[in-house]
Amino acid sequence: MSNTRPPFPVGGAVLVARVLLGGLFIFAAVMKLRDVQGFAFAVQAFDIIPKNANHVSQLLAFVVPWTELVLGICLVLGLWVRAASLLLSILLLAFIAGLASVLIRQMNITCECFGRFEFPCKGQVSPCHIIRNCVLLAVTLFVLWKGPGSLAVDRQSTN
Amino acid sequence: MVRPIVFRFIGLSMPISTHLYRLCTLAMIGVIAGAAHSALRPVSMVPIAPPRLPEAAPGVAGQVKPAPPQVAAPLQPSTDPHADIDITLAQAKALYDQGVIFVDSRSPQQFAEKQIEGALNLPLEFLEGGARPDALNIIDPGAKVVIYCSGGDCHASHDVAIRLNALGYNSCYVLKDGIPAWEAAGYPMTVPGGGK
Repeated sequence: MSNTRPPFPVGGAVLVARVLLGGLFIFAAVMKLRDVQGFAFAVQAFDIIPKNANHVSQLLAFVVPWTELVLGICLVLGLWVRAASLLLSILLLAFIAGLASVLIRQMNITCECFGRFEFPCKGQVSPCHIIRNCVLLAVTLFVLWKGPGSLAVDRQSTN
Repeated sequence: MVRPIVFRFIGLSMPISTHLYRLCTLAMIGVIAGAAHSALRPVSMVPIAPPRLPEAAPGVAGQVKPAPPQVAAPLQPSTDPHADIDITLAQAKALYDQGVIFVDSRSPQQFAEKQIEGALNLPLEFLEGGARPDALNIIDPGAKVVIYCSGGDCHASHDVAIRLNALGYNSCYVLKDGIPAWEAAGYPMTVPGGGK
């Protein structure tokens, strides 16, 4: 099957989605990496990882933001877009599952999804956080579906 | 070449194995970078569990006797996660009279306007940078510390308590009602330009 270019409006829409998503996750990663200790406590507070496996929480506190940073850069550049958006979808599904479990257990904790900067949902974990992540997941799936779009490194090769 | 319809639907022109290989590569980059960062600057997962203070008798200062230290309990989710470290105004005054160090977690600007007499300024951002704040050179890690901010919805004091706890200061308390309650009670204040 040949690599047919999408019409400009679609390619432009993918470009916008890619840059917004990538920029958002780069921002989220930087905010977390600026205060890894705070994010580590947030991971621990979710109470999903057993207390006797704190080393896993510690590692996750670093791996999650670094992965977000790598994926964000890939999306902005349009590099390996489908792989990046697929991995980001998996991450977002994990985030949604974690937030849902917090709500189900009626825990009173903050998300720290963007470090100390909370947007657009403020305060403790609420349905707003899940809706926000679902919207992000929908945009990510759109990018996964449509491919790199305009102005992407991937366009120099096949997708 | 016949390809699965789903691949054609999303316009994949490369083998799916290529995308999976790329996905694994991206994940590995994240894991390796995270692990390296973790090794260079490890974080602490020490939970907050200072010894509880008994309720101070109203109007009697200087009679608070700390309870025996308890074994550190893991951070439990609850409706009030800071219940273990929050102290009342009376308890805070009793500790103040014992010479316990008070830490003001508000911004330097707010600290400059007014402060509890003798307090040190240690906002959260001072603990988030790479350099060790000067205030930590004054506070003995084994000493009790009372942290306050503006009361009400202010979370800065709890955030600073968490960071100090992670740094080994395991006897941090938070004056929950903050500086407004202290000021309203007429306790010692420093107001530059306005006297005490």
